[in-house]
Amino acid sequence: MESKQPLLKVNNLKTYFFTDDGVVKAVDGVNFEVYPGETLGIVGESGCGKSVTSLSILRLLDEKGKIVDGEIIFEGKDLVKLDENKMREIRGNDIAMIFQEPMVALNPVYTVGDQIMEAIILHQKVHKDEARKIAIDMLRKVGIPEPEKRVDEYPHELSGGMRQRAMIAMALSCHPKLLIADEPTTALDVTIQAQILELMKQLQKDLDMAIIMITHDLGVIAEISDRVAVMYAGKMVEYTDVKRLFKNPKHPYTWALLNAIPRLDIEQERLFSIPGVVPDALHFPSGCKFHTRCEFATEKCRNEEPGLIEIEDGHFVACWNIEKLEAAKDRVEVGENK
Amino acid sequence: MNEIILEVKNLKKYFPIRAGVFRRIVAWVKAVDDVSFNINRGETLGLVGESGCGKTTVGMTILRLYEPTAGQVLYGNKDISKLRGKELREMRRKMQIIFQDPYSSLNPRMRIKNIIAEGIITHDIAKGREAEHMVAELLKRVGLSPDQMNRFPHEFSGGQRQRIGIARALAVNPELIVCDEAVSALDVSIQAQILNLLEDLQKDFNLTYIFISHALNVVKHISDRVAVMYLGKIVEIADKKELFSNPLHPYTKALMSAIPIPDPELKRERILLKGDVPSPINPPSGCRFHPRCPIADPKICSREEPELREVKPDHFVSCHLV
Repeated sequence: MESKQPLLKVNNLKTYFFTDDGVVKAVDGVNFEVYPGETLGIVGESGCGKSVTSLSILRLLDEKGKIVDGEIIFEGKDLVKLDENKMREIRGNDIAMIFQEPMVALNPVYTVGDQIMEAIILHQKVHKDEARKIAIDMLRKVGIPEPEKRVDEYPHELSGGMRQRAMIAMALSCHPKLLIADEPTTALDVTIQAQILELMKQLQKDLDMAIIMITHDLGVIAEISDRVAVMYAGKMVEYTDVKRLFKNPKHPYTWALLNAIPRLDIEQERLFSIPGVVPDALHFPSGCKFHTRCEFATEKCRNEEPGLIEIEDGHFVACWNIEKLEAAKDRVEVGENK
Repeated sequence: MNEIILEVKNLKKYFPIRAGVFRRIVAWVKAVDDVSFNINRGETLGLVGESGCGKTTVGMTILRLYEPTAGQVLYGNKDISKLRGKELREMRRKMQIIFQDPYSSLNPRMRIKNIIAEGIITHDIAKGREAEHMVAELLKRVGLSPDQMNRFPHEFSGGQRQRIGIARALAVNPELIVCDEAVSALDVSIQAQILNLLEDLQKDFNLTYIFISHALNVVKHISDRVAVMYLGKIVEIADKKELFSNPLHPYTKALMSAIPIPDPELKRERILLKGDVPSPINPPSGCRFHPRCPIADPKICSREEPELREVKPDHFVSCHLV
């Protein structure tokens, strides 16, 4: 996979929001690649910048948000520098997005069919009848029963799971090369979540598309990702393939997060808890952003910010104290199955 | 340990649907439909299920925040729906609730001092200086600083607000606390803090919890016994270890297999359920799970409703085919 050219390459992306209270450095120097056909998971807690990263790629930021630095190279073009018309040709066509809450993302006054057809007519330059056929076909592909009937229904007539399927149908109708999924299953019940994840994996295989999966749920990450980026306070703290991340996390935040989840497959006496709260985006701490909550923090962590360093082939970590974590690991077992 | 603190017998809660000019009742939402269970003092009973299964309604009816349609809730052998006046107030003190959303469950115009002291004063536990002193102690106990008692809810983060909600519930020395999705809105690192706090408080004050959640992993962590609900019914109830190592109801099995496990190398057999949860207005005939059940037998499951029966000691399942 590494020998292939990346489909998307994000270099030193910085997205700031200029609010009345000050500058919010929501994304502050993030680097990653997405290769054709793979799934990159971006995981982190609320306010870590994972959603802003995805909105930056499609340039869907509101007027207060600005990409102040960095490049987003998609198939050789820098999306940051593209004019709005060119960007529209890419949105929904080469790169599509699905959101957390399908009821908010879908327009309530248009039928599901109309909304899917809009993108098809715009990008594929086909006639209305043809677009309708494609729309019905897509609805069938995402497992919506009676697509000929459902195509004329409004979003409120569908259940939560069906709406999310409709949104996936809309996103995939133009066969994008990259799908950005921002917490696509968070609002759904677990049995429905399992259906949607299964569907996404199937469609990814059929259409040979790359996925960026943004979620707070490490279980979903483990299930669907090939490689994972862990974010904290606008920074990427760890970046590697999924197996290594779960088996041998190197950043104290990743390690603590993995131990903080109650698990179905392991007996835990007491959960590992990370002290304190996620820092306020207006007043991020100096040095390493995690030092205020990190049990291994030293003077250096408070003053100097660690860069993302490749500690072994394809495993990137931003931490000054990797050895300290290694020494502490036998206190709590990670990823051991009983 | 085995002193029964609360007994729920054949509890039903139906909500009317009204329509037309005269707001006539046209149908009933059978949110909770014949549910029975006991809780022992000092234990945690997990109530788990997907949206619309009736888990929250059970919690609200136990606290008599809803009046039951039928059935009984016995607290220390007293039917709570018959309590009046002083007895009712005493019962309300003994049973408290922690809500899911720490943003909407605290009055934004009240200082947290007053939010926490409200119960203390209403129940004549203390007043004035003494009440304030109690608030300070409670804040310390839940991991907040007493200096913060004059602040308003918006000055706190989600996890801190949930701590305030816990302090508010603790203020009146309750015996039983209903935790309704108490950690569902929180980030993973904060969720662990709150779960640990709830466990510590349970030990210190000998509290009994009804822990309502859709998150099976959280329920597994905190509960002693677990009841699984589907469309207004309990489909399975057992000791935690027994339920998670030996689930018997096909819905419980599917639910467990649907939870993504944070281990990419763990390969599991996944039971994918078809379709959505049906509406509780017109629940399916027979076993309510039969339209989605992978092993349903058309001869019996769609016709006869299964009883919740004890298949092993203390392991109850409602399925014809177990």
